Amino acid sequence: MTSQAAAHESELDTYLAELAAALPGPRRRRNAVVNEVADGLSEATRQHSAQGLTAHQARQAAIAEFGPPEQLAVGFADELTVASARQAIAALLATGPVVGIWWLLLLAPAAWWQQPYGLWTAIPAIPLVGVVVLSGLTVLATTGQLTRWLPETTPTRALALAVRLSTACIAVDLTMLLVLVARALTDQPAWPPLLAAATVTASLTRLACTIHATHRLRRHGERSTIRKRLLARHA
Amino acid sequence: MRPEILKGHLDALLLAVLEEGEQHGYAVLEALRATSRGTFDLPTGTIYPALHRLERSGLIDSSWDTVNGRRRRTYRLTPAGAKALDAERTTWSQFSTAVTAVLGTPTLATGT
Repeated sequence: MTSQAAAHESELDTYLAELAAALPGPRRRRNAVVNEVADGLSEATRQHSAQGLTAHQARQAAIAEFGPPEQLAVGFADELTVASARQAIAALLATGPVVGIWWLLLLAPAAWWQQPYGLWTAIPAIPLVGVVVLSGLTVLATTGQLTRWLPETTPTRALALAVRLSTACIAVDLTMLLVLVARALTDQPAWPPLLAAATVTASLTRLACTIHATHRLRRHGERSTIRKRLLARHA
Repeated sequence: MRPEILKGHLDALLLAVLEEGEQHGYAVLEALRATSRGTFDLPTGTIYPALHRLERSGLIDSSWDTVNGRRRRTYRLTPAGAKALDAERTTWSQFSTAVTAVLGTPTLATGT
């Protein structure tokens, strides 16, 4: 490839790199968008070439057709925002039982199924867990295929709810860890050490992951808002 | 054509294009331009997010292939999408008949 051809080819690469940098959201979804746009740009270039433009002109025309990368990225922002929210909520719902089972094994009173109130006393975070589960399922339902029948949750609202649910899960894990410490200090129960260690490890791990995920969700929301405002100002 | 006129009908138009067969995003845009004889010349960037939204709703689905060394995402209509398209056609038929009936009414000239 000649140096001129290589320079021209890099126009598309530069465009795609700028697009990738401007897109918010989960990495897999961003990569998918970039790949799809890359294919579209190639098709647009081919069509412009077929109309008689030189290779360079065809690439320029394709890039002009797709618009500035920042502007294109804003167009994808809503869908990537929903993807972020859905991914975060799905992770919370999936890890809930994985962590919850350890707390149940450690703190649930004997024959707890016969006395649910005893379970609630032993694991006071249960009502908050219930709220998180119901709210999370509602957001997933109103941002997915059930939107054919249910009112759709807007991207901004889905992200805000994902942040709130993540924060609630942080509160759940912190509450349970505090309950554990309080009971250890006051009751001095004879918990199996391995079970207690596994429970604490599970909760601390999820706590760290949820704090990180909440921070990413907040940053995603801030970046999307800033970009939209900048573009609106320059429009 | 002013974009805001198209806004409420974009989903139906995309479903109708995909009814003809599976296509990748840029081909959907080209098909829309060609079928409308240039009337619907949408900004290229609006097509892809609209297709993603339709896929999230389950009205279309997509798959990835490798074409000439590039990853290509191709969309196709789902059975739910076909049903939704039929419903859109019925709604549009009723709407356009009503609009034509009203717009087609000649205004009376006030000569005095």
